[in-house]
Amino acid sequence: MVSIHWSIACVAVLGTGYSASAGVVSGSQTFYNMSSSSRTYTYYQYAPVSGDSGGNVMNGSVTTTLTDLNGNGATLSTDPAGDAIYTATINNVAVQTLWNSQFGFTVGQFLSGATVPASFANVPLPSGVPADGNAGVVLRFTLSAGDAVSFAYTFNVVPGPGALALLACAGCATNGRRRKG
Amino acid sequence: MKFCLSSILAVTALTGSAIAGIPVVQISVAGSSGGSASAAPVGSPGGDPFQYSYNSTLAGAGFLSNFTLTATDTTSSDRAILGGFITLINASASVQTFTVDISASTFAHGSSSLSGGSVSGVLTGNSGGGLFASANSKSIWTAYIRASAINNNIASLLNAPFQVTSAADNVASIPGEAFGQPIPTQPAIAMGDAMGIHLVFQLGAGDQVDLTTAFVLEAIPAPSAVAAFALIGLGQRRRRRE
Repeated sequence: MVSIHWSIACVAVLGTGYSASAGVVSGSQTFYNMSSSSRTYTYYQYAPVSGDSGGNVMNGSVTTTLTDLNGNGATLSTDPAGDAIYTATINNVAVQTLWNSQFGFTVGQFLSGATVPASFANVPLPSGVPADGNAGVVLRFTLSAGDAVSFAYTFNVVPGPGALALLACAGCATNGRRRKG
Repeated sequence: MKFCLSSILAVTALTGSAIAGIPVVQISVAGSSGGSASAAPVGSPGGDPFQYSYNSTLAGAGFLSNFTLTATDTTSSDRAILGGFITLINASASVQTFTVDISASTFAHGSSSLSGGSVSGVLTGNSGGGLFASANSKSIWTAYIRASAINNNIASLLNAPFQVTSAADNVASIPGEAFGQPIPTQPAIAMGDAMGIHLVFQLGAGDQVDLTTAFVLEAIPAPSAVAAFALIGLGQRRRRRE
């Protein structure tokens, strides 16, 4: 599921490709600000997630490429509220952020530039957050006039090493019982 | 009346004889597994004055692609910009070499031009990781000016050997490269019938690449046109004195 909020109608938001399998939010999205002033965007993408009862961990990443298409440089920054550009959510609860407040990226006249990717890996799911429901990625940012930006991002929830070990033990026990029977 | 006629002559010398209007943009994609597709999207006004935007989604056997481009009406502007975004997904089960070509018609004018361009991107890998690389020892990005049906290469970026990989279900950056900085300052031949960007690259199975790029040309008036303008100026000055 994808939903987008943008400031004014003349700002083009261009779906480029996304995929969502159980527990994985992955894709890319392009935004072209065709207006004459900088604009703030908020973009949401969700996917169903079904984790185990415990021991889940989260992985995620984001990177972007920015291009000046009108010859006066291009700027990508956090929104005026200072929200992180990338927020991973589970059931609309923020569980991890990347490119937090004061993040900024600029390129010069007619240049293209790619940021260094940001990521997190094997971060335990916060206590009290159920692993079942919807996993999501929210992008919030401000883009300069006449310029374009493309994001690539991922977020997934997987059983952690502890949970995997428990599953392995359960499998062995079941196997053992079958053999005895 | 004399002045008007002189101006028309000078402008004609400066701009040549191409047809005014919205640039004609052509896009083609071909994959090594045999799939191919092409389109000529219609432009709509967007961005700065004289700029038009173009959107197109192309799908073929083993790939899906999306283009968001901008091109300039060079009958109204000496500066031509061709750029935007290219997204390509390798929907096949094996690594493919893709050839992508985008071009925009231009108004042939000037004796030479100044050029510049840039490209960067992001790679999204699938559960087996991601791969974006040069193919057959060729540069991934080449800008050209088409004159008399011949593509004249102006510059290449992301030269071979070039490779970016990403971890499973992860993203990686394709670092930006540019030429003619500050863009556009690299001398090139005069604007021809079209300007274009040619891409050749390998993309891993199930991977996605998003490229952002710009190619800029600025016409340098022909010496005869400059001389005509100078003569007009001198003529006006003499008349004022009289």
